[in-house]
Amino acid sequence: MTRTILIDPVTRIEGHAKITIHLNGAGAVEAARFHVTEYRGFEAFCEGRPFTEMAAITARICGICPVSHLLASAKTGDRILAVTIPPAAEKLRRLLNLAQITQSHALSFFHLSSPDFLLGWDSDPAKRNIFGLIAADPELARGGIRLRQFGQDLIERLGGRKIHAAWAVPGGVRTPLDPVDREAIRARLPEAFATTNAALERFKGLLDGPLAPEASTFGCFPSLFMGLVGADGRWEHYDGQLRLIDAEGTVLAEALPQQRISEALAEAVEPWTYLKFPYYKPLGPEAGSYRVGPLARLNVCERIGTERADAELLELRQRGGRVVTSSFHYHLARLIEILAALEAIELLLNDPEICATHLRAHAGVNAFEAVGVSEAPRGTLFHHYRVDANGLIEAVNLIIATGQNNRAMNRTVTQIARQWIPPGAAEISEGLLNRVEAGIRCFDPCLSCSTHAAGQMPLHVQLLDPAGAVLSERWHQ
Amino acid sequence: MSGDLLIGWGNPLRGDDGVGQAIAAAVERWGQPQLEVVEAVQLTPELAPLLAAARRVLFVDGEAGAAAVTGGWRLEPVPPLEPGGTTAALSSQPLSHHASPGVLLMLAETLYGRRPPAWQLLVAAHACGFGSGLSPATEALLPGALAAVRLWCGDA
Repeated sequence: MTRTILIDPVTRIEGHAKITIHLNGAGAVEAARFHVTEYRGFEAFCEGRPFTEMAAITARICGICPVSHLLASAKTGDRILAVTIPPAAEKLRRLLNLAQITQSHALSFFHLSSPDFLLGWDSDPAKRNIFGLIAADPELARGGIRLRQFGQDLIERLGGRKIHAAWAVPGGVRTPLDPVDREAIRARLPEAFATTNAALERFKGLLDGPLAPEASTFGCFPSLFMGLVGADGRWEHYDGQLRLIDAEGTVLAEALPQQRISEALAEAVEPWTYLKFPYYKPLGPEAGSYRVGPLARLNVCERIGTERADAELLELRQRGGRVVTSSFHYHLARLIEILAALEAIELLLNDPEICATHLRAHAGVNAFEAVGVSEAPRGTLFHHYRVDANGLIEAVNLIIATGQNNRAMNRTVTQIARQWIPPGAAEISEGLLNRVEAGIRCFDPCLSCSTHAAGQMPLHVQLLDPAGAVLSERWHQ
Repeated sequence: MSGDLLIGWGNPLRGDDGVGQAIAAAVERWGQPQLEVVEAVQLTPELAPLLAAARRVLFVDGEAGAAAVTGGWRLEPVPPLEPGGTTAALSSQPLSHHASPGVLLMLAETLYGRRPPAWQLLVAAHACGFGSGLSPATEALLPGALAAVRLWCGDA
């Protein structure tokens, strides 16, 4: 006899999804699946549009990571124009991406995950949320909001409140950084550093104590890791070489061909989910599956290149090895990346060229096909466009970070379920439910940027027998 | 304390889900000096301090199912979250990537000490498939919805 535990949808992630946990005849976990039930259909209506509009269009895909799509799209446009953008424009784009990494990671760590860490997996669900966190540690909660606000503020000072109007465009950026804004950003940096340092110290203390079991069971498995690296293998988020390593740290590919990425990566499909499973072609769908995102970026780089972040990277590697394989450490990696981003922002603000006004290269269509790659907070993002001689889009393919982490998310859920569901269990505890969800949240997935007007669904858990009859049922509200 | 705040939210690449942003864009063109207009795809925590500083707030959003909205739109106070309702609100509309007006108002009050008087204008969303632009049915509701916003503005 087999049974299925259904968790639908996963809360506190983008879009709608569900988790099914399949028990075998002995009542032990056979497998777990992370289902994505909504089709990403954004590419289709881009066809026929001028490629110059793609940055503005694709930035509207997501309310959380518009900057990531904006930059990947602008970089694709640079390739179609076949131009090198002015140095100041690249620095401003980098500044924008660093702000995006800061605000997105702050949202993930402080608001999604901290209630679990600080209030306990088995704590009263009525209190295990942001308001419980505020009650337990108002300074941390307020600091988290202000850190996200810092990132958002920087983005608005560069691109305006309506960042979707496409500040980054093919060939560069539209407007310079005002020196007044530069000083305003600089003035907020000390508080941002203080919040990040406090969170790092707090979280590392928890990793050494109550969170130690989760660190060893939440998606702890060998896999490949992929991400951009800069000169000398330095941490990179905007440009550079696309490096792929294995779990031992061996470099399998130092520079994947970004403009011919389909030669290196392929996408497997499964009938039970719309989300594809990208993999490194030479190794096949299973052995070739890889992880992207903050942990992957820290694994593939040799060093970050700034003092405080490098010290934290060293400590991370002392904790988890040269290549850290536990997905739970995505959380620590996010905090380290916030620190790295703040240091890089500080350096860029001190750059005499940062307020320069020559910001755009102009050209016509010089290439009919191009790929733009950048690092979104959740991982490597690819925009691939094909255009006609007039620059009208003929085909679009977007490879998003969440898709590339798909197989890792499935393996993570399976590992957690095997660890925390005792054989023969007929009931699902609050602690188990939360751990399974939290396993997915390690990757901070952004699934569909979907409509909210369709209504909200509470967490629904079902235990089904092989015939589909409901053995037990639970609503998470 | 600053002036009034209007937040039009939804995804403009999901058809009528973008009606909140469409109305916000139209209102911004009025150029009302005492009215700050924000267009957002989702409601996120950093909006809380803006709320706390506003005199009054109007959330403008699409609501799926025309039958749910008599006349195509309704303007009403944002219902307060009861203590017991917080968990449900956070479970179904979790705060992280996506918050409800009620949760955001509660956050403003809890963290920043002030919950402004708040209303919501809900406009019937008839088609929320992939694509930009409003359906003719929702487009036809814009004059009435904008008149409701004018009424709200003049009701200061």
